[in-house]
Amino acid sequence: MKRIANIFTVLLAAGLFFSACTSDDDNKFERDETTFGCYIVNYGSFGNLGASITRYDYKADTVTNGYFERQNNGFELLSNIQYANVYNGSIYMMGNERDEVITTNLLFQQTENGISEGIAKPRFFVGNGDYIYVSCWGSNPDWGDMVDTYIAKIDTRTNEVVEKIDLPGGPEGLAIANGHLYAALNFRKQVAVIDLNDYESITYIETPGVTSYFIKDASNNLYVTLLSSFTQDVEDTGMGYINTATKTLEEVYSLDGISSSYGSVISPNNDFSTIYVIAASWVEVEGKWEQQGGVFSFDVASKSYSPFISNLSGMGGVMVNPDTDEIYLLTSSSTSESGKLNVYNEDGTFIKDIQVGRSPAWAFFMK
Amino acid sequence: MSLSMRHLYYLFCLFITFPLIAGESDFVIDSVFLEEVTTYSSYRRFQPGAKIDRIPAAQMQIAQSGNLEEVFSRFTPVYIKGNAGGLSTIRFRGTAPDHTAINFGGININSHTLGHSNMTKIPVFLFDRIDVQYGSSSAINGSGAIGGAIYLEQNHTWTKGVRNYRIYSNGSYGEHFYGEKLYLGNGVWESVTKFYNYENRNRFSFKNPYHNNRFTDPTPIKDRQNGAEVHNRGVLQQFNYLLAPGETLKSSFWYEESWHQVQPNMPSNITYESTAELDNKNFRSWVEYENNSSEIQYKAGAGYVRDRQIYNNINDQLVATERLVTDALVSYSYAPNQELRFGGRYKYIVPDVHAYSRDNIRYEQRAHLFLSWFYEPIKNLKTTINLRQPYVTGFNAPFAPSFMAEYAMNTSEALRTTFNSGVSRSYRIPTLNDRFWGTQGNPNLKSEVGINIEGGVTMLYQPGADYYRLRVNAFYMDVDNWIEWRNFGQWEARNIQKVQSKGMEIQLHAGIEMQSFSLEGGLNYTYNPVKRIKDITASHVNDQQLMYSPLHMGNSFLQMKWREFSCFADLGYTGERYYDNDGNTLPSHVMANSGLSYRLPFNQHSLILMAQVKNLLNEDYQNERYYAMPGRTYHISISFDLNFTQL
Repeated sequence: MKRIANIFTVLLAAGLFFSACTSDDDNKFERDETTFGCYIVNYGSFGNLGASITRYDYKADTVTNGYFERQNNGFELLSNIQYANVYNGSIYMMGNERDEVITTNLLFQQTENGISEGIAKPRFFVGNGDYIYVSCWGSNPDWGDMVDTYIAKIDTRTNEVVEKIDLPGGPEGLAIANGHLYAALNFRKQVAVIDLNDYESITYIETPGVTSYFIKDASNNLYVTLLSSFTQDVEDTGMGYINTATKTLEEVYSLDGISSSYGSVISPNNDFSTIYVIAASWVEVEGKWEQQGGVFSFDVASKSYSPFISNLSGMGGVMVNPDTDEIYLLTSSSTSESGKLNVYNEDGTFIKDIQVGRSPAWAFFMK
Repeated sequence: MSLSMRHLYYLFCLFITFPLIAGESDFVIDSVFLEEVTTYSSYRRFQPGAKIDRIPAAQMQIAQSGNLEEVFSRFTPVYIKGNAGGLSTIRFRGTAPDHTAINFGGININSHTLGHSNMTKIPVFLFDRIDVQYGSSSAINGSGAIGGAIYLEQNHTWTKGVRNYRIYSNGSYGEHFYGEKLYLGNGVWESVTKFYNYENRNRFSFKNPYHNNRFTDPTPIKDRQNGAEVHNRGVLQQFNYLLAPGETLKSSFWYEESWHQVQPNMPSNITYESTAELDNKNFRSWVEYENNSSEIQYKAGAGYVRDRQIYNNINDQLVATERLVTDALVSYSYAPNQELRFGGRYKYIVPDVHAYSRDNIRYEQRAHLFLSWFYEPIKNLKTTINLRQPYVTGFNAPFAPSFMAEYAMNTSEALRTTFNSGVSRSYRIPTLNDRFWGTQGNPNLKSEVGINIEGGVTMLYQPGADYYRLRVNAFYMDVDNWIEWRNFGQWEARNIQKVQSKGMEIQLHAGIEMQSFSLEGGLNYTYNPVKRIKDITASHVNDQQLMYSPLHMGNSFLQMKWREFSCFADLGYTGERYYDNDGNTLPSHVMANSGLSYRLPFNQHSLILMAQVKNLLNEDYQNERYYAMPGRTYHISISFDLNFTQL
């Protein structure tokens, strides 16, 4: 009888142990060695899915492609992932075609359906308190004036859209500074500024080019990418500097050929002394001028650009590793085959490349 | 259907369809020979070694309410990539969709902006014959005829009297087709009017594994397709005039409106709210004067084409082109066994595309000079040399020669063996999009160029009224400067790679007649390895088959007739296909279709009733990854042929 009781006790303890593990995994809000690494967001191919997550543990130098599938019993991502990042202990992925905001724990385990109600063509998000703000292009964009685009406000406690802020012009990148939500308008030469206490109070900062993404410096001021456009006459391209205290564009740092890709085209290093931007330039090859991709570094002190990496094709994103200061370039020449993560040190010396998923465009780090 | 039942059905189909399809019936074989006599300038006459098949009349009848996508996927071993009715593109011998010329009169109807045609937007009903050429034919058909060519043909019967043909067809999931043909004439002039209306709500059901509860229960759910509605309609008007024996004036005016919703993929179907729409309007016309009454024969034609596409009702997203086409040729039979043909063609193209800068292109002119020589040095040995030199404004276009030969020998009274061979150079001028789209178009592109070599043997055994035909064809083709859009800092078209395609095609075809019973069937099989052998990114060259190009394809067809009853079945096998370049594949699938028809004759008139079951085995398959296709569907049609013509 005692023996049976012992066995029962052991089984009960084992059951509790495993169920506890499951519970922890399902509610993984804390970062540790199991979540550590760089996560590459591979967009896939529009309409044909193929999106994936690559986990790169740069300390252990291990790469796990198809990480989402691996963490979800083989289930693949059912959307093209436009952007993803971690916020308040959860990962949020902006899924297109099918349109939804996918939420997972820090182990990329998805336990519930994505948020699709009120979400149409989500692009980017930024968090503030218990909410995230998601730029959306609407169900049927007109690709001209983009009159039906908006910002969706999601309550992260209930995972429901609680507010829809109409914002024509195709909002893409977002940033929050000084109590205001800044939205880069990809179809207008403007940045929208929304008062977070009064969503109807929207002002606009005129820019010489259409805009795509922001980075924020230590003073809470913003750099925004200024792009050329099919539909707009553009006066200048490069980066703009926005003083968020005065909500004005104070400077424009011109650069031709700045990438209009939807990905991490601008990224600062850790002390914000250098900003890396992706831009194409015309290069003469065998007597013909060809457009080739490259990365330029912008010295924040001297306000000047210099070529960092040249002659690279298929660039989707640039990121800086916060631990090592290494520069990560995401490249992919077509949407039907694997891309690469190219690693460079600060002086532009190539270190290595790593195979990732299709059309990598973003990466984020969990330390 | 259980697995065992399915196997039984496969065996049944293989058994009954053993001698199968894709060539012509022996009636058609005869008619082809006749046409070679009467149509001196036909593409057959100057390509004796080429593989050109005609879609048999019986199959044209079966697919009357369908489109080219249905005909090719059911009756030929040519792969069509597509979804459930909105968009489908053809891939001859592993080549790209813009490597197939589609000829209507003297016009290649492929879009000059996109480079290809949507196969679901070309209705079978408007054409009397469809010929299919495998392999390159740029020396005859010009730019784009690298992988194959399709000829949409009309019969010119010089109607005496009135004839009216109408068909109503209904299918599962909201599919409706109505078509009408009206022939009027007095034996000298002829008016032929054909129009049709096709609607398909496409609300078919399918198994969707990408549902919302997949985390708790991964079993696929039964789902219903949203946002895949199709509405096509068109009219084709011909006016033909027989000026004198051998001297004709023919004209064709084809207006087509096609609209479809952009089908959501299976994951999106779950959360469907709305989808985009594509609206196309195409007008194609061709007028041709032909004089074959003397040893010097000549022909001159002119056409006007307008293609217009609007995306999602946004008028600013206009993609349109207009073109004027003229050509003229002279043919001279200066000896009983020799004929020389030469001519020229001119095209004036005006694009109106929202993403083109007027500074880069306002119009484009293209001209071609061509010369063909037919020579039969000994009896039954036919040879031809075709030469074509295109000219394009501001662009270097390549020279396209071809040499072809065919030798036929009567091995016995009933057995005829024919050997064919050919070598040809092909090319494709980059599309307007490739060169002028926004800031990404690349005006520095070179033409794609290819070499096609093929040879084969055909054995035709005709004991009495029956016939058996076996054809084996081997081919080798490479295409250099293959254009692809890739990301070079921005997405841009460039001459990227060299692709090699080779393989073997086997056709077996038979027809048997026994008093009031007849049997006709055939079998097609294609083995086609196609790979990149050069790429500007060296790592892209690997041993993988090109995407959406099956290594193995085959199909079979059988039709049995007893008096006015007919039953038919066809079975198609599509091998595994890669859907990306990382080694992921779509599984192979088998499609079976079958049906019955009954013809009720009354004097010269007739009424035809037909019932068909498509995808009889309810196969769950995809032709493009993540896009659902219909399962088993049922179709019935009734057609009337009221014939008041004088025979």
